[in-house]
Amino acid sequence: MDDRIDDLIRDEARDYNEPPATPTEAMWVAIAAGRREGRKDGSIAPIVAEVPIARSFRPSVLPFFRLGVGIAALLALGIGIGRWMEHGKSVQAPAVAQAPATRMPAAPTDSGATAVTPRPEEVGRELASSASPRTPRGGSPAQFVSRTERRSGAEAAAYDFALSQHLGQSEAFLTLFRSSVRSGRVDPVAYASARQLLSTNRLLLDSRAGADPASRQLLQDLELVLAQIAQLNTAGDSSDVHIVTEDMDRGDVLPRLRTAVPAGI
Amino acid sequence: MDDRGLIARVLAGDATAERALYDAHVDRVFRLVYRMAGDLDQAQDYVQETFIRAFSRLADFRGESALSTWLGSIAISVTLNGLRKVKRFRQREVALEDAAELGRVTREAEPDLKTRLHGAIDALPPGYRAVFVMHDMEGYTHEEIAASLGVQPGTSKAQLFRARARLREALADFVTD
Repeated sequence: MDDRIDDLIRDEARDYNEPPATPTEAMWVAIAAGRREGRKDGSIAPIVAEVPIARSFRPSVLPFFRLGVGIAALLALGIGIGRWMEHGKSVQAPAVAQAPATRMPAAPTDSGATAVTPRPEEVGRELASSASPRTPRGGSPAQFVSRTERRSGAEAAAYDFALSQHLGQSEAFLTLFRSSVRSGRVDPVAYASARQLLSTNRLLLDSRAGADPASRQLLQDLELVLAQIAQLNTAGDSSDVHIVTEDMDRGDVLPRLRTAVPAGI
Repeated sequence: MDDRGLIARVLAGDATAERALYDAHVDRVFRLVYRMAGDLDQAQDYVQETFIRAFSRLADFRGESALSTWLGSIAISVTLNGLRKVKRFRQREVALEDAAELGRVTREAEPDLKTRLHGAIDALPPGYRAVFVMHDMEGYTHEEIAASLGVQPGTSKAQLFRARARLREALADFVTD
């Protein structure tokens, strides 16, 4: 019985997603362009994550809102840390120059040198106070530099993560959009999705994630494409839709997104 | 020229060797990716990404497996990642749609055997589907599949067995009829 069904399955499955002729030349042109782009900015992402075999995809109740809230929270965190750092810098700057003139009593160390241990509440007061230069309450320049580097690293990681998530979402969206245009079935939801992505894109452009010239250029090109899609409407002229996809192809937006997004995002 | 010679020339910066290597393997990679993706645009995208990654990491290829197997592993990884992203995005779009639209389910005529089978293959977990497509449709051996998916040959056999069992289950009433 099982053998009979297996034979049937093998016979009937032969034309499952039967491949057409390989579009060799068209793909080669895109590969050559992608290679040039990758060489130019060195951004070809390594294969960092393999998809686990037979991984189950856990459906979530509101994936869209969860993702949106996640990205917004990361952005807010990044911006908050950035502002905090800016504030901190203006307080810390004179600390380097005036370190010998510390007002607070210093704790003696084993070597006899004085090392000042800043209390958390003091650091908080420093950062919360005005940005006018004043004598620092404590902390050696080396300690400040080390803390600054740590904060800076965490901040950069938060922005990188938010940027990768956004670029990954945009890549998936544009892939689907292009496919639906070619098949002549553009879902009206696509325009709403484009508006959502456009908002995130603008937030990222105005944040530290947009400071890197390569990322900024990509975000700007992406903004143009997303804005064009968002302005289309369900009754829009189909030639407008094709103009958008042509712009996408001309700017190599999708290949650039793919090289910018690490595998696994 | 064999793969080893081509690889050496590609690493030396020979652009014609890059093209020769691509020509030698693109059909097999495209067939596999298309079977998995089922969409020409997506398949093209995944094949392009496969070769871009392969060329950029060719220096890391140690020759422990055949080049075709190594390319197959990149292609499967890229395709499953891409399909996962598309699936996630589709779930997002569904969340945006009007709930009333979702509730409007129509009972369609019972699909024929082929349609039912293709639907059942689509519904297999990605790993099972990859093994089924590679073995039963594209003729890969369990050793090649294992190397491509980073699993043991025994795991590949077990996944194929389970995939077929699920398909049998999905078609059981057709056969008894």
